[in-house]
Amino acid sequence: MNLKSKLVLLAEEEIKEKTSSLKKFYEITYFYDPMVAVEKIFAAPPDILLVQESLAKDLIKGLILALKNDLRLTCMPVVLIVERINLPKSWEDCPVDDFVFSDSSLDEYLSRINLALARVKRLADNNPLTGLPGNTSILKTIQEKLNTKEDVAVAYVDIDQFKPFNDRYGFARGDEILRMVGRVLLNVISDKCREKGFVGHIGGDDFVFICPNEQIEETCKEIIKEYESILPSFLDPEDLKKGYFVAKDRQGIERKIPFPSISIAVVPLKKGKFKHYGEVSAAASQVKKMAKAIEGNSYFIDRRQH
Amino acid sequence: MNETKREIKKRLRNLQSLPTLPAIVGKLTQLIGDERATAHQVAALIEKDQVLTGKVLKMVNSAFYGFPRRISTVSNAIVLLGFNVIRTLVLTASIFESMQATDLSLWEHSLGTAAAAGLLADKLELPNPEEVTTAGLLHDLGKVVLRTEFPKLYKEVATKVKEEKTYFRAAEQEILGLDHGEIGRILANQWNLPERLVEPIAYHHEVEKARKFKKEAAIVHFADIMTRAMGYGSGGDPWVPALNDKAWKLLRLKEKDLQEIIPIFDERLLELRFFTLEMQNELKK
Amino acid sequence: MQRIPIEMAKAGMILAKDVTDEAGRVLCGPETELTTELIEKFKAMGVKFVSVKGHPIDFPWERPYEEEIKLLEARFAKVADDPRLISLKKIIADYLKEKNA
Repeated sequence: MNLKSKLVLLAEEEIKEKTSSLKKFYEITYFYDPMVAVEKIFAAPPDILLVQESLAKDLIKGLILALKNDLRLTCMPVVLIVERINLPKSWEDCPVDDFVFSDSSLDEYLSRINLALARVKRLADNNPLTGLPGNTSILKTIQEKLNTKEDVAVAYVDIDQFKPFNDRYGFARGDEILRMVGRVLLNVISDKCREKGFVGHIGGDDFVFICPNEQIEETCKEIIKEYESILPSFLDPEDLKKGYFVAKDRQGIERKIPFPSISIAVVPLKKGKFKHYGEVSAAASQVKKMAKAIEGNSYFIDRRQH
Repeated sequence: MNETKREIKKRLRNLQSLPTLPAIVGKLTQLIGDERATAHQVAALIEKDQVLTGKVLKMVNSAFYGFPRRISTVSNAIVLLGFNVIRTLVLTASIFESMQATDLSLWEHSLGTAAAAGLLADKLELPNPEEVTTAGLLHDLGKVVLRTEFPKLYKEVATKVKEEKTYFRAAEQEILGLDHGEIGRILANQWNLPERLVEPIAYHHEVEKARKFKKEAAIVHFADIMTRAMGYGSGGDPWVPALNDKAWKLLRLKEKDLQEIIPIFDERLLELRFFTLEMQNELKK
Repeated sequence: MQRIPIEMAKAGMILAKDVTDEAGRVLCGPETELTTELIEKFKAMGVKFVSVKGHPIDFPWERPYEEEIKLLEARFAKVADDPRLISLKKIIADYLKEKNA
């Protein structure tokens, strides 16, 4: 039995009535008040959003921009219900995935929704845990930056002591830490670098981010600061008090394990130094060793000239 | 009695949104529109409103973000949610058009309790004073819900307090069959807030019922007393409530501790008074 | 003596207490007369409140000392038999008295 895709419809009563038979195909949640809808959409995002522009023009515009600017929610397809007289319009300001006319037939509504859902399946290589772009997108983005010779740095982030943590606290808690790191990276880079930044999740406890060279140090410092501030919420109070937790190492001996810390290995893309993303990750492996050698949360920037 | 209780619980399950101080939303909207605004500044404003704080914490602790019952401070929530989400939350915060200047008293009380809780947490050298401050801010959320969703019942309770000179909580128990502590507990659990927040909200009047976070509940209990004792804001009735024995035992406050804290608290209250003065002036504009 | 936010300070007011910055360093001592430059300087250094002599501004929440004490007593009416809370009341009363001096 197929699980129905979840659709949120934010439109006038008229449209709701018209499309009511779509309930056969999707699990529809209906809203007419954008204010109420927004909270629900961010807290429990549907698989697709169908929204009527004329409901509240500016608010809807703001909502769409917010969704598309959120690196995680940007993949959720948004289909805009428009009035014929309002076309043509500038899609730059209105980054939806498709549109349908308010007076379109039911079949057309159905087709557009299905197409949007199918399209998103093709394009997404997002990590299922964090929702961040996966390897394919990461490599593509790094190569792009190399080709355009942008003045950025590529940083590889991984979590020290992650395996003992997982063993001690369980995988569910480990997953929470990964999600937390994902969000911290996402939000710090979004904040500091806006469109110039990028965050990806390679897999497991390995992450990547890209940031303009001039901001790399302050960004690393900010990431570490936020991580340090939030981590205690994920640890048991008794362990927090001790400052470590106890677990068995590979030899079966009980050891005091420090809390998970992040290591950031930074490879600035100096003009012409690298031609291919493979070279970047090779350079990163060496830098990683330096970063991981430093105890606790740390970052290390590769300053070699060649 | 049972009928009312059931009705209340049912309404809580379907709660859509609660009112926020219009002036705070106004200021926040301004701040968020400013390119140079920092997350820290935004957090500082959000923390001045119990409903916005509740909303932010509810969102970050929701299943979608994947850390249920973990996050208990606005500053951490903001880092995890991101500016984008906060901006949208603020833009769609439900505004109570008809909020009068006198309505601020309930807000003032929660702000004062938050400040007192922070001071007590520092004195007791708790590792995370910010969390207890948040608990102090949210401790009377149940009253806000009561006032917004059940205005008739709220009026009944207020009338009883006035006429029979009973504590607000006692009147609640008689008329509703439950009190704001329980309403707060139900809400906080619904919102998936961490237990370190739920317990102080639920048990700030019955500290002995707290299981894991007794100290925090005790702090919020006494912070509530301190705020009422200083006459700042209104907790529903004009009297200092009875001191909970368990709380007093846990806090172990000496006279000299209080002598040190009271002047500092008074200064904090002064800062808050100027803040609410600013808010009232915004309301008039 | 009155404690006021720096935004409400005006030239001519006289400091009643030290003005300290956020780090606790003393910037200025009592008896100093405030000037516009001084006030701007304090603002720039992050000073939020200053204590000035007399009572230059009337704030809506201020009440005469006797009334404050009366209200304090009324608030504690229901717990008059709890020595711990009466002790708290006394501490507040003493503090109010000192403030009023």
